[in-house]
Amino acid sequence: MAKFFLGSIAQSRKVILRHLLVLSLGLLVVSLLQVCVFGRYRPFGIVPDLTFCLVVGVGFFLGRFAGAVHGIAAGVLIEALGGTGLTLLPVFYLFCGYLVGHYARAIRPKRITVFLVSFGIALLLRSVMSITYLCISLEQINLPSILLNVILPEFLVTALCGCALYYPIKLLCSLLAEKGSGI
Amino acid sequence: MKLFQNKFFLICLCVAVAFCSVTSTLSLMGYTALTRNILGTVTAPARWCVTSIVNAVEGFGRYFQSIDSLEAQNKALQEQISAQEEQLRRAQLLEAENARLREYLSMKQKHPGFSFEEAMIISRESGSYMTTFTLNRGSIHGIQLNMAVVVKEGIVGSVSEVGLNWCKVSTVLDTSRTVGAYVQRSGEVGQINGEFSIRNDGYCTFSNGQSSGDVEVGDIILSVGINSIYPADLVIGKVISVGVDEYSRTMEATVESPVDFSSLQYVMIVTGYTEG
Repeated sequence: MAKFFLGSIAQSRKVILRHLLVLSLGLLVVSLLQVCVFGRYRPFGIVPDLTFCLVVGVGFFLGRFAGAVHGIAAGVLIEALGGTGLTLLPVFYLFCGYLVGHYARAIRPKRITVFLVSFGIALLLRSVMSITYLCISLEQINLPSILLNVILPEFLVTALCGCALYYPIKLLCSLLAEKGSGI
Repeated sequence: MKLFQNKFFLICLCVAVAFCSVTSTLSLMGYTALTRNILGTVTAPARWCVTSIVNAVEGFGRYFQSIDSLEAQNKALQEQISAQEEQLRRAQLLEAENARLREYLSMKQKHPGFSFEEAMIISRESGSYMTTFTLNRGSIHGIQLNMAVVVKEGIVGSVSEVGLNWCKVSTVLDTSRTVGAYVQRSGEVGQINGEFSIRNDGYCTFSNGQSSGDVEVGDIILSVGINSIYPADLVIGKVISVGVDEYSRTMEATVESPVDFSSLQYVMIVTGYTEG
């Protein structure tokens, strides 16, 4: 089952365990950074979604199955650490990780420009999700104000963080990827 | 939609939706979901560690920020101290000037017939044979040769050379000068002479040309004034010892000048006087 979850890159139980360990540690570190550090020092008043960057990165480099599993795990963890009330992130991250992994599977080699395009599209989807979430949560909604004060800064700051995290994520994934995977 | 017609994805989606539904429902009902509770509990030490590190780093940064502010404060205080020191220095100068002017006033009150010109000592003798110094007053200030130079304590000397804006003063300790003097207590008349051997101690000698005289230790020696460059009754010094000159066998008293020549800065030139 675990082999199935992690897709074709998993070859044995040992490899699967190594994948789970490395990805869990990476996810934990990034989640803690997001909750403990950026939750406190908010660049431009926004908490950048680092776990989202990691989910997209893992999907991009390791494929759709790894992206999907990592998406659920990231959503669950970040909701547990810093979420309140309505929970949508596991489902959304699952879709993002899966979709990015699906469309990036044929790309060899995996360049930063392709990653940034994928990440930008995923961020747009995330913005749509944020608006949806706010529409559900808030009784009255001022869309221009939300776009200007929440969605746009969140998009820009997370995009910047995604650029900065590209190489660390690539390094993390290169520890797990098969030879000739293009990483 | 073929993309999502995948067994693996559908299982994942079911898990995710189930998790979201359960967690959201429990949260809206006011309960904490088990997964959130477990994950929150497990990750609490890690969160504590990260937050502690962040706090430590922040404290470290704040320490340097406080150093910066302390440096700025220190600089401001140093500037303040410098300004106050400057004020203090000015005040000290004014105080010294005030004291000098008080002396001048007391001398004017003591000698109403005198007219004075205040002068500052701008240099002292370059050799060691003469006891002279230069003042910052000269002929353009009305200074003439042989004018008496005094301070509150007594006679300093007399003008021995006059320039345009300077003059030289030979002190009463100078060996080339003689001053007519008398003993205040007994009225014994004599003359004050400088001596090489004792002038550096601020001493000079009083002699009357006779083998004896009514001079005692502690007597005050005053200027005679008659046909002299010095006005009458100015203090020359105090007798500290009385003896006999080993060559002429005449009475000779050692007189200590009340003026401290080494620290003298300002003097008064008596530009004119009327005999009382």
